[in-house]
Amino acid sequence: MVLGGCATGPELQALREAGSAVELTEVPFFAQDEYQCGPAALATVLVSGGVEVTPQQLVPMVYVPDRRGSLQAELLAATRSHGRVPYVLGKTLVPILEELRSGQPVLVLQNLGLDRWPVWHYAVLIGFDPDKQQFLLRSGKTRRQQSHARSFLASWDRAGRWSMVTVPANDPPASADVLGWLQAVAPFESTGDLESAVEGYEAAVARWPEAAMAWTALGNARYLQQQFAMASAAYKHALNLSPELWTARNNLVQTMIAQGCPKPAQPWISGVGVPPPEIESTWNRTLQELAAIGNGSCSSRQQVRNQLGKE
Amino acid sequence: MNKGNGVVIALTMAAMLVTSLPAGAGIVGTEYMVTQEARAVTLDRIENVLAGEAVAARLEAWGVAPQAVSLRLAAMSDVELQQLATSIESDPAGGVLVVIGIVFVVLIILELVGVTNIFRRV
Repeated sequence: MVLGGCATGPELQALREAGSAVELTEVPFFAQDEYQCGPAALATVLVSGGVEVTPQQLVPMVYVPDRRGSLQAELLAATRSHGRVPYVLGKTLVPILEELRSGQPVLVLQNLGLDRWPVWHYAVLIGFDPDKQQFLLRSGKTRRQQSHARSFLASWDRAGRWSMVTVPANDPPASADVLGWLQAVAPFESTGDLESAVEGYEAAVARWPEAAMAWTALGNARYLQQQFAMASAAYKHALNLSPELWTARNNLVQTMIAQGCPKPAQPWISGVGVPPPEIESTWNRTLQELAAIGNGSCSSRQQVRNQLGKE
Repeated sequence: MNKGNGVVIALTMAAMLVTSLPAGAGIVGTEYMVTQEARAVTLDRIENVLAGEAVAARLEAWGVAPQAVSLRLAAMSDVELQQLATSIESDPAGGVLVVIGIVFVVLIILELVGVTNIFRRV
């Protein structure tokens, strides 16, 4: 038999060193119906962050009747549908403690059974007490569940150490790193909520101004909005920070193609070396597309169209 | 009948998702940029459609209403759909309130010996 407890030694240590106790008493409570702890837990964090929603309204978006539960992927998607960014925390206790201390309730997945007979459950962490070695949760039908640190950590460890917070796009969580934040915001690009994407990336370049990927992401969202001048500026900024970021280079040239401006692209394609294998075919296609539109400064037709597009 | 309709709807949704990008969108999207090293995802639109179809079929088979399936798919990104399509069968579905049968007996023993904490104020 495998006991999850032994794996959580460093976590118990982190809790012991976490300083004063925290309890987010303002976090609302929704008692779960049936197997619907997913909708209840998600509503808890969303409402806590100012979204108006009830667990009942979330059921059609996140509940899977025959599985008697909710999938993580759908909790993430439903969070975005409500205009918030779902940020999945790193797999140690430290970011969870940091979020709680900054006032952010944390949605966690627990396995209350065993590895072999899993019993999956979502709950919301609202506090911890290093002296009593306790965690506080909104869970199931219990408004204020006090869970012993060792058993809570074991249940979270058995569930793959998964936890998330939900935040507005302009406010990355306290524990966020730039790559994690870009990953959390990026799905807005393909679901078509470009305003949220831009908001999230602008927050990223404000918080991590040296991160070339954040500027590239901002360029991507601007490109999709057909704000080509702003996209170009963001890509160039990224390339100044990190000339080796081929995604930015490729996308900058694509932006110039979209603007019908092959000539200004020349300095960005000549003498730049060979791209890494994963982007080579994309880069070659971009060069072909560029060659296909000639060598003018900018096509006036395209400029007119861009101008119209902006208005 | 219903199931077939749902799949058609889901397919249409998935097709709309991938074709609603600006014509000739040649940029590499942020999701691909940040997941490139971590996971094997492709830029292939056909694969996105197939992934959407697979997830839709699974959700419907598990009792999600067809019209809800379309909305749920539309809220997921291409990369998320591709990942979910490969993992949906084994992904955990959190929801417990009661446990039944032999599992219950096993769990209560484990509870008594202090391995689990399922029956404590869940």
